[in-house]
Amino acid sequence: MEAGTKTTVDEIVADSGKPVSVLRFSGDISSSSRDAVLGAYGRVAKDRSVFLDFSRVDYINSSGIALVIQMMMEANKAAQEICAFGLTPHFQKVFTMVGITKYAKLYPDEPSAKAAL
Amino acid sequence: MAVPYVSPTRDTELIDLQQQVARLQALLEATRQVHSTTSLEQVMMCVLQIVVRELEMPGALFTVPALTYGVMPPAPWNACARFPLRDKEGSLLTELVVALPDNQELSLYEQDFIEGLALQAAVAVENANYHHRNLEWVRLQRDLEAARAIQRSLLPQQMPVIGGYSVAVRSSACYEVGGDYVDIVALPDGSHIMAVADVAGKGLASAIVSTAFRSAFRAMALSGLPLEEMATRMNNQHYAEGPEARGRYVTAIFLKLDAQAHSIEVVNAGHNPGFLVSPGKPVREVHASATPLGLIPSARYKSEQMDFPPGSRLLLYTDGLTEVFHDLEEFGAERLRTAFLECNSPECNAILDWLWTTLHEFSGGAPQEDDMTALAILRMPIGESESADGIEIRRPSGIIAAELGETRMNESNDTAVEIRLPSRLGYEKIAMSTAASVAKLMGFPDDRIEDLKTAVAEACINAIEHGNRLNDNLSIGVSLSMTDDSLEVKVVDEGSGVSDRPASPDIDRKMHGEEAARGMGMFLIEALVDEAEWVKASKGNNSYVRLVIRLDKEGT
Repeated sequence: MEAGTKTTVDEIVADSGKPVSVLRFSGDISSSSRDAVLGAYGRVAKDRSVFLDFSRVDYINSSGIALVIQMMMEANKAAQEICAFGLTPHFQKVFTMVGITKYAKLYPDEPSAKAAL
Repeated sequence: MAVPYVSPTRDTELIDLQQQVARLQALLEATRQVHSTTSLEQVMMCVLQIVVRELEMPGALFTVPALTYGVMPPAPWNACARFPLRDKEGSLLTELVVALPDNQELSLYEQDFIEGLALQAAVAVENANYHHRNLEWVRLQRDLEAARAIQRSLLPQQMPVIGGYSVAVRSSACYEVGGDYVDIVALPDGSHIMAVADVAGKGLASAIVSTAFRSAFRAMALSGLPLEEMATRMNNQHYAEGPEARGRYVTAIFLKLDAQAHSIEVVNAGHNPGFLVSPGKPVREVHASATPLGLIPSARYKSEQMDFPPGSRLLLYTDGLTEVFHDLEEFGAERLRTAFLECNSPECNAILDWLWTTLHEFSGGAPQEDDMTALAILRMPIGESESADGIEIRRPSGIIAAELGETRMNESNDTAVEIRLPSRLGYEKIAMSTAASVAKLMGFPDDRIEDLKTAVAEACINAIEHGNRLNDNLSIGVSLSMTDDSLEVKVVDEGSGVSDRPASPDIDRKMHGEEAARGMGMFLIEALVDEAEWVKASKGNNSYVRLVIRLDKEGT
């Protein structure tokens, strides 16, 4: 029933020239996405910023948001900057409500995230 | 222009005042120089140079660390002036020893100046020491972060895909790194050897031992040694490392899963008993057959062979899970076993989520006091996910079709839709889609429909996880009742209902591990709908959550 989460990791360069790892999620992000979220983050280099691409995510629930927060905890310990893009206006609102925007900047799309870093 | 008269007495006073100002300025300048660096050696050399150059003394030195400037007589410097430098608590930091010009003593001004300089130097030395310690601490933090990243990378990154089985591991260290270890090794014959181990103690020393343990375990597992022999050799090898390693002995439980024969073999070396739950049988505990690895030489370990019929579940864990405390009360193995039994999810990640949430709730969110690691294995029940020959199939989708009108959950409205869903994570999306379709028909704007979808999904997830405790033999009911200007949704479960409304999520506490990352469902529901009410079970009535969103006719 759950669509599962697929994650691909891309290495890109922001407009400023800084290297960035992009975790591109697709499918659902829920309690069964632990490996897709935390496992994928565990494999990215810790010396650069991380973008989270939600543009191909169909469904996120509070358990999925909790995994994103756990990943942000890890990133915070490694002093890594986290930015997210591709969230629908509704999930931008939800992320803001639970306080994620205090620790991660949200952008509408990848070009605006690349320009801001 | 007339020159003002100045009496000789006032003239002398003026000169004294000017001299005092000059001395204070000199001391101020010396102080500025002393405080201009955070390097201990530079601070001390600056002090010595001021004493020698400004006061024209032959030489000066500090006793600890030994540093000399100018010409000093040999120790013990009996003819020299000595100025102790003390920290805020009065403890001696070092001593400034000043050589005096031949047959002279320090003038009152020189004495005052050096005493003032020594006071300032003591502060600067203490600051330099703090700075040095801060740099050391930052370096250690970086080392620990790197060690933590390495240790995390050594955990199984992907679970093996075994037809008809679900496998999951979870490990969280109390400090940056820990002595818990969990691993899964796939063998060429298709079987898997798994280990959960706990090195005595916590922190970096235990982490180093666990890394050495990993190397030995992997090498022996891949060599095809029987589990008993593997445990015996690892015990002897660890013991032979010497007294330091023996002090960091390892409790371990090894398991071999043969998914073709549906059997498991377990060897317990001084570890907490694993729990095996099989349908229709009492819980079986796999107890230790001998002492922890590395504690005594020549220990002999015995393996236990067990069938793993459909619906079986096994939990291996470290004592960090049982030694969680609420005040002075320990969670204990009995509660862990009960929590494991209560959770009937067919997905091991969900089972471990459930255990971690249960432990967090028991401890009241208190900081973790020990490393916590667990491994869960589950064989899907026949008919749920696999046929008798082990080929994975999915439950037919017809079973999740909405049962319209099966049970009336709302008596007050004529226009209602009711569905009953399996109590299984993922099925909340059917309730979500149904609610969205109804809301669209009623003319709700898109943004409110999105709010409703999230609220309904969260209500269903709570009903499945907390109401029905992930028991997929149960079901949840969802009713949607429409009036002219509102849509009411009730989500019914078979549990007793929520006892406490959680506080709003605090992202700062979550980010610092002081609050569980999960636990936002009820907050989101309340924030996204116009009314939310949680009703506990009573007198034969099930517990439910009731949500209402209202149509803003003027706004739409």
